[in-house]
Amino acid sequence: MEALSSLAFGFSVAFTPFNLALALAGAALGTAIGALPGIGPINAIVLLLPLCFSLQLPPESALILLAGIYYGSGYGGRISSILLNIPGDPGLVMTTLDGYPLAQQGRGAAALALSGIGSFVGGTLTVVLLTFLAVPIARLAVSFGPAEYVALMVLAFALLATMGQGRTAKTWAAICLGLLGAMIGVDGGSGVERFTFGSLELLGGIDFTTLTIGLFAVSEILVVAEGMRSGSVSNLGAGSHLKLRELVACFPAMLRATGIGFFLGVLPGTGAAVASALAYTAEKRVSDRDGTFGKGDMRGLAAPETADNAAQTASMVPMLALGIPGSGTTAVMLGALLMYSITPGPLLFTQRPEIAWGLIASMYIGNIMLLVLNLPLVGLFARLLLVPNWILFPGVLGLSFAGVYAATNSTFELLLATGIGIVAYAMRKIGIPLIPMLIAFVLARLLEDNIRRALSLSDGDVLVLVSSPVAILFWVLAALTFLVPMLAPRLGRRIRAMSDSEAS
Amino acid sequence: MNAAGSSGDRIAGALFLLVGIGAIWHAWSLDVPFAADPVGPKVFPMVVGAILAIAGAAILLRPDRVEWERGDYGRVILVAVASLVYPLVLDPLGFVPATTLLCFACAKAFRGPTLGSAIASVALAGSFLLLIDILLGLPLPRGPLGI
Amino acid sequence: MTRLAFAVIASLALGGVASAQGFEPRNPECIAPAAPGGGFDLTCRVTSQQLNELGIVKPTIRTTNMPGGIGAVAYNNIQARRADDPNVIIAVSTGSWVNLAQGKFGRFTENDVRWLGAVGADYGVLAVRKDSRFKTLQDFVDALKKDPGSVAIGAGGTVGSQDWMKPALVAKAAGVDPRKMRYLSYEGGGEALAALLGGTIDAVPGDASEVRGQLEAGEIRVLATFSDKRLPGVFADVPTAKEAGYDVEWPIVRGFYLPPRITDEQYAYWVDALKKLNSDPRWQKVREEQGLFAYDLVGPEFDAFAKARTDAFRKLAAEVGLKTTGN
Repeated sequence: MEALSSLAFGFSVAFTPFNLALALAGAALGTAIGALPGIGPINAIVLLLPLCFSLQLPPESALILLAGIYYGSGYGGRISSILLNIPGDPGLVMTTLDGYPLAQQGRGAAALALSGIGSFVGGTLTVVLLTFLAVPIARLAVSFGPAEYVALMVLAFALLATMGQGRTAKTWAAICLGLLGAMIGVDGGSGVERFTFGSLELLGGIDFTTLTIGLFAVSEILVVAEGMRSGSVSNLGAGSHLKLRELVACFPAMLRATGIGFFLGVLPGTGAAVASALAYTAEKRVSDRDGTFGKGDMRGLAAPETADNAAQTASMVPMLALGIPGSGTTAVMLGALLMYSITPGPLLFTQRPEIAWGLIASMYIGNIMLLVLNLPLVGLFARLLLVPNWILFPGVLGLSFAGVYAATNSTFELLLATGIGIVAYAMRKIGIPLIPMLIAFVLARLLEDNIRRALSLSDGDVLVLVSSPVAILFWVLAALTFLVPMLAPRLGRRIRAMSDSEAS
Repeated sequence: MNAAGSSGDRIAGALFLLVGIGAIWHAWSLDVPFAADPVGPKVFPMVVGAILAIAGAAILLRPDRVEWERGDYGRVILVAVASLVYPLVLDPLGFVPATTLLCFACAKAFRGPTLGSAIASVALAGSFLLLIDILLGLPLPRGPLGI
Repeated sequence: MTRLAFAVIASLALGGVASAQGFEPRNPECIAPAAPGGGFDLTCRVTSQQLNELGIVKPTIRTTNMPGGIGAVAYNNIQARRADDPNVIIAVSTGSWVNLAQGKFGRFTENDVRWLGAVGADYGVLAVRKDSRFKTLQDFVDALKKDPGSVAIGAGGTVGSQDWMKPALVAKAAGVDPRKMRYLSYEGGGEALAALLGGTIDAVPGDASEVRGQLEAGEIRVLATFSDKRLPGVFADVPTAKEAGYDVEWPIVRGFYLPPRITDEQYAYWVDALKKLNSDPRWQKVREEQGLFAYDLVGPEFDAFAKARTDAFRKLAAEVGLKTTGN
């Protein structure tokens, strides 16, 4: 109950008209900046940090503004993911799978509304967990060792490989290309350069944003340019609103996705991209009985959206409870705290309760503001599709390139994005799925580094990988993921055959 | 205008096979002074390369007949070439002229009217500069015209 | 508001002095050779903001991010395209010299730029869990000597990076082959700290600023700081490695370099600017808030220091068999 009174104190800090206005302004600014392809939450916060100083905001107000920006920029990227099939950062890739088909069916506004509500549910439930259990959960998360990570990654790859987007050999080829792409750069365990071919630009590896823009934005524009698929939507009016029945049907998916997103968000190293990918693939396994996933299933949109925001919020847990940044964005938030002479860590809650609880309260408020701000606007956003193609797509291409250049100041990155885009276009033409490739890229280092860490600690003894109950649980789940789709049809046939023979 | 063929799959399969073998060869020839762990940096690329080579061989030997949608490749090439030229002219021309050219080529590829495309391209390029460089303070390259 | 007014007055007063020197930068720029949000980015943004606010440099300094190759891309970009541009300063840190020494900056060496100066420094520390079997640096070294494999060290850098160099120097000082260390490379300092608290690894050779929160809360014990004298504040009770008998210093210097072909007058302008900054009490306060310690080394002394450090790193890297630039 102590947490409740502290939270009430936090709300008393956050609930001034000025701070509420800041939260709303942050959500609006964040949405606008996040909608620019290539400029994600990290950049949004870095860019607006100086604003907090020049306005001479007190630290708790600055954090409330930044939390608004954080949530807003996460949401802003969804607009182009859903309406144009162009995700601006890796966490939003799964959003396109069912979001874009919905937009094509004229339900763009409904999809955006569902995305907003899913984010709200995931974010809010996670903040509630954070309020009461931050410290024990953070302790649990850091005790997750390399062997557990390896097993978790194997489960992730199992889900990815059996996602069922086309032929198995092609999915595996895509996964391998993603893994190889992630190996470009300096290897951590030995300091050796791999696949850099002497290029200094590649020394630090391929940038996530460049890869995402190339794989999805450039290739999508090439596909649309070819003219076989119309980017415009015929009806925007009829039936475009989200029905209560549809929303209710998504709640189980949202709850499951919150669990997955929360878990993966708290773990250091795994972020929103991994969370949304696993939430989608797991949800597809659980709910996709009629093969509607990937064709505009509301649950297929709700799951990654909820998990994405749950993970974003949960990554605050290790930062607040232990002072450890679990992700790039929280590292930036940590930097912001440091600029205000606030040392985050276990003592934050006792030394500066107005900051800690003010920030937690602002997360509740930020989530609400996002909903308040964006739900009335979804119809307006959906009208983006009324812009003629010959303005819309050149605009998206130019803006994507400007975003990549602004963040890197490198024309090499632009060439790389275009090159990746052309290859991705060719891959799409022959049915090689891009999403397993991107997710494999995101997971690759987690898999390789943790196997090597585990075996380093065990002196090469492979049994260490199955040495804990948690790891064994993930291995079993992974095995089931592979085996069930192989065995289920046969079992089904046998049962049917048996019942047939009984009937005859 | 749809066509079905397996040549796309054969080419892709062959390429994957080559890339897989290339990855194995690259990893094999890495010069590693010492590694801090018993696995080292070679094992992963070799395993992944091998799986890729196997997947490539599978696609090569049993290609699918892909329903090949055949659209307007001229427009694809126009957008691709404009995107490839863009990074090369960005620094010498400056952001606004280069982006105007990119958007104009792209707008024409999307069958925009010439005058409308020209106006839209200038407006888009100018508004991106305003938005990203001036409002957000992320510098974009300025050419001889100062924009 | 008073602060703002003060800054305006200060800029008017000091600005007059600066312009009397002749050279005045136009559209000055600070290049952070990393993505937004990292250490370089913060160095650039905070320093340039302060240089402007304190009126030391009049025109607004813009921060440009140029990530790629841990600073290599920016280093080469300066050589190729802006070798005589006096309006640009580029952030540098000790980690850049480690990479420079190992040939990760391409064909250019430490003699190809003009090293400007430092604005502050962080210091390497050796941290263990609060319930660790290691109570002192000597305990840690004894364990290393007995069996290097028995101590799992982890940090957010690759083998050969500065996070690896810190324990490697300790091992070397103790007569242990650094190659035998059990070193786990993590994606960032935060992940390594999490692994330390969770019990996966035994020690983290981190930075003072990143472990301060945990030390204050009593979550970790710091065995030694790699500084020339004891650090202030919460670190006051922590002995330096030198006190413990191992002469290992690891300042993580945060500073800047300039393009190679600028004039001496232009170089002098920037040297003067950093000297003014370092002696300003308002900057000293900001620096402290950043978790940085004083490190007043500007101009030719810094130039010599940068070259000497790079050379020392080259020798060390060669000794343990890492690739180095060929001299």
